[in-house]
Amino acid sequence: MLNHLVYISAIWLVLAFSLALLFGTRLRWGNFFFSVFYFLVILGLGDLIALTLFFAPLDLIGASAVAFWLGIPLILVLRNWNAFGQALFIFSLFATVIYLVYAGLITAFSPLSPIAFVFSYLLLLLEFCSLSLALTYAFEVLDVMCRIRWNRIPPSVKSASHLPMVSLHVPAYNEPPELVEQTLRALAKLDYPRYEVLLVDNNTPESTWKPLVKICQELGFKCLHLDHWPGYKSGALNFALTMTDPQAEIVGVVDADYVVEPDFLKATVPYFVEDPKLAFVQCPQDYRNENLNRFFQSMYDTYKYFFCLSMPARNERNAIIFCGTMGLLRKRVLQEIGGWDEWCITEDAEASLRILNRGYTSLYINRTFGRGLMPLNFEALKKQRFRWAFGGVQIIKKHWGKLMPWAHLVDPNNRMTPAQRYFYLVAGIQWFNELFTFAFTVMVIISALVTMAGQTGLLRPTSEALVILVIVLIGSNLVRALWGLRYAMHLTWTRAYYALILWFSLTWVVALACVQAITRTRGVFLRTPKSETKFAWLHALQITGWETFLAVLCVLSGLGAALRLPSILSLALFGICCSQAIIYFSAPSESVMSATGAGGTRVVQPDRGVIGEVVSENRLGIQLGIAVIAFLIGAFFAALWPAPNQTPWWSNYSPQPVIVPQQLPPGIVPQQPQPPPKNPPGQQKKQGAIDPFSPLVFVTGLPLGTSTHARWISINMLAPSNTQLARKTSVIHEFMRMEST
Amino acid sequence: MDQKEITGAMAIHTLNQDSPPVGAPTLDQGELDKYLRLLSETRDSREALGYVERAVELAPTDLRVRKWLHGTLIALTDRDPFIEYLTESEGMYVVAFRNSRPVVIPKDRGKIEVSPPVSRTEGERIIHLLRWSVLGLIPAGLGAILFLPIVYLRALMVLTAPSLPNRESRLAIVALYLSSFLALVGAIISGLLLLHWIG
Repeated sequence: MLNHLVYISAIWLVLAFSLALLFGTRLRWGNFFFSVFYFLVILGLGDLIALTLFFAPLDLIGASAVAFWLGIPLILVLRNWNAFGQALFIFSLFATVIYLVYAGLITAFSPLSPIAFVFSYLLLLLEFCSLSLALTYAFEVLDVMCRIRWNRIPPSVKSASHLPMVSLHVPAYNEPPELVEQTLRALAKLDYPRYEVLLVDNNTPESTWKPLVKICQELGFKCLHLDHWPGYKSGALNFALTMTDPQAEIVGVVDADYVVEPDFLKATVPYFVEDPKLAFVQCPQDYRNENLNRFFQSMYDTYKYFFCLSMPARNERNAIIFCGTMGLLRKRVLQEIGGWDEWCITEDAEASLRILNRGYTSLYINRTFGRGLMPLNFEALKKQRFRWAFGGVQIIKKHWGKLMPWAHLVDPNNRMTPAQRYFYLVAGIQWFNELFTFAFTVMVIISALVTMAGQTGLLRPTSEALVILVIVLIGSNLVRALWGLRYAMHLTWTRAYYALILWFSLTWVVALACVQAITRTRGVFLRTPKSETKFAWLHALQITGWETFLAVLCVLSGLGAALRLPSILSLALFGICCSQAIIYFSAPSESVMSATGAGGTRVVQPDRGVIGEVVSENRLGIQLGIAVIAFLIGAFFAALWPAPNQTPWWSNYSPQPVIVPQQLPPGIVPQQPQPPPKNPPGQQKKQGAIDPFSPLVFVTGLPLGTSTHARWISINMLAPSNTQLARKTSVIHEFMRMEST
Repeated sequence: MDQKEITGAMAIHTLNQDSPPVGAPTLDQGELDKYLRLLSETRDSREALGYVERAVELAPTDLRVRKWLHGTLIALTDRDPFIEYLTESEGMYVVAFRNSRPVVIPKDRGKIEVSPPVSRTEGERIIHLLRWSVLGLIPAGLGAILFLPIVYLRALMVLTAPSLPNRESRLAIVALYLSSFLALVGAIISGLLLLHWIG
């Protein structure tokens, strides 16, 4: 029956996804009964299709009943979505659970050696984490695209009788004076009666900050240069708080490269007057250098995605984050929480968590009031992403206790709602997606190398049904990511695809950041491999040396496996390795693309915020490489452990039939393949039966690329030699014979 | 040691006495008013700095003092915005302007939770221990089983300890439930491993 559940869940998911893709963003109304009706239609259609593929009406009725009764509560919970979004999420959840249960049963009850069981279990753990993340991405995307009701849209601004004084803090570190001057002159044009501007420059050479003093004097702004100042940007902003005018009630942070619209304050400050509990307001970060070339366009699209999809979803639950620029905070709240945390290198998001923890409210106003500059090349983007990922994990490390379901029981002063805790927890955990992807890449490479050595003892059995579900899950997640990108920014499919590739290109650096954030107590910044060349394209390749190495390793190991034991199966393994290589090859390609925006000559961008401990990417790569090699050596030795020499009694609980990749132990003579038993006319073949000569596929690690590229892993490898295929065929028939008796 | 360092050391000594000692005299309103009057009369920003520092010592949270402090600092940095960091405590910065002695400036914000924490309560330590139980799921759940008695023992010690804050007991109870759940999951996985071992 479980096999049929797997097939039907795949069919339902495909149906629900196809219809959601066509109509999901168009339907802007809904009610419970229509949702139930639509849900039943999908169930019925899916059942009809399944009946034509395998005639098992009792199984289908049972599965439909379970899906129906599980779906109804979810429809009630997701009442602000339309029917298409509800059905898609329910069937995604259903398919994920079915997959994990099925894979779990295979892991638990297939006749594996103990070491193979441990490897298979580790794989299952990785799959569980990745699939759970994929569901969170699905939720985030559908929450905006299929929403029929918005409950927290900021009302139109009324003119307030009292406009409080605002203190705008402009942190600067080693910024070109011309850039900062542009920002300051834009701030001087703000249409607001009472505000001050504090330019806070820290740890910059005197020749760089001196020209800014005159400009500030001319514009009537205050200028501070903080020398030998610890604490990065947050240290500077904390001192700025001390220097803020006592009459100021609102503090704003504007980055030194942001040109702000004149009505920024007039449009945002009144919300503080209307709601005394409002602690901070955030506007989207936008950029003005997005059209240089395809790289900058993709970068722009990925940045905008967060503000067009993630932030509106979070705003509905009063769970937005403060983004460090183009935001305003109530001064007394900022003082109450103790200012900015100098330990965390993403002090902005961390502060917003502490603010919400005290029961204050936040507001996201989805309108651009200022445009800054994006990183000028891929190297700068890597460093920025390393910082963000590191800081994101730091926040989880410090505040995980506040985000747990029992947090309010332990600390009644914790005023965060369950939705706020969920969004902040997920935001931190989603950074680990890239680490899971890297772990999966390692397992794929190990699988290929182990196959090259002719050892398959570690590999988990598979079945056709599972493989199909894997393909459906991966495909739906990939397409959903593209769909989200298209919808959020009205992109073409091509442009959405390029944005996805840019996400992939940062996999390695984010994985590094996660490992560093877990193991270190203090923040560090990334130093990319040194390059003395003046040619931009060569430098672009040098700084993505590790990604290129990984990609080449994937291709070579897959090729080696295919050449060593040529068959359809090893070719499929090669295909999987290539899919992983695509992820890492995207880094050098994006890097070279970014270099073409600067012409032929290398542009050296000053490192913003790099005033703390710096860690070398080369050193991190070598450390990780040593760990992987140790794991690989362990895997090779473990693969030598023999499989059980007889079928244990508990293997009956494994979903049947499965293809067991381990070699037959010595002494067991492979039987001649028996012809499959003939079914009576009108009956389909027995449930779960597999034609042993059907092309057997295993999919692993095709990039999921959901909203922020969740991947999941299902490594089901088959030893592909012809001799071993014959042996496996005999094993299959043995199972079928046992089943029929 | 130059003058700046000596004065800095005195400033650091002052920093270490953020809260007034027991038996300290109450605020001398007359003294405070005197310094505020001197501040309003002087035109020299460096002299004003001296007066405002005295006023801050007497009444660090007084709004008038804060206003004068802010105004004095802004005036000092108007022509030369250079401020050098020397040290800080939980409530104070010690900084130096160009060619000036160290100056103590009170921070204008509350206390922040230090990370990583200097010390944890017993309940927090038990919860922190749970991360090993979670990681213990990786080696086929054996670690989760191993940590169960350790967490149990420490949680029971907390629960039976007299007059501990409620929060500690709640943390201990949460740790008990969580470690039990993790150990159960670990036991299932280890049981399966044993099955595969026996074959």
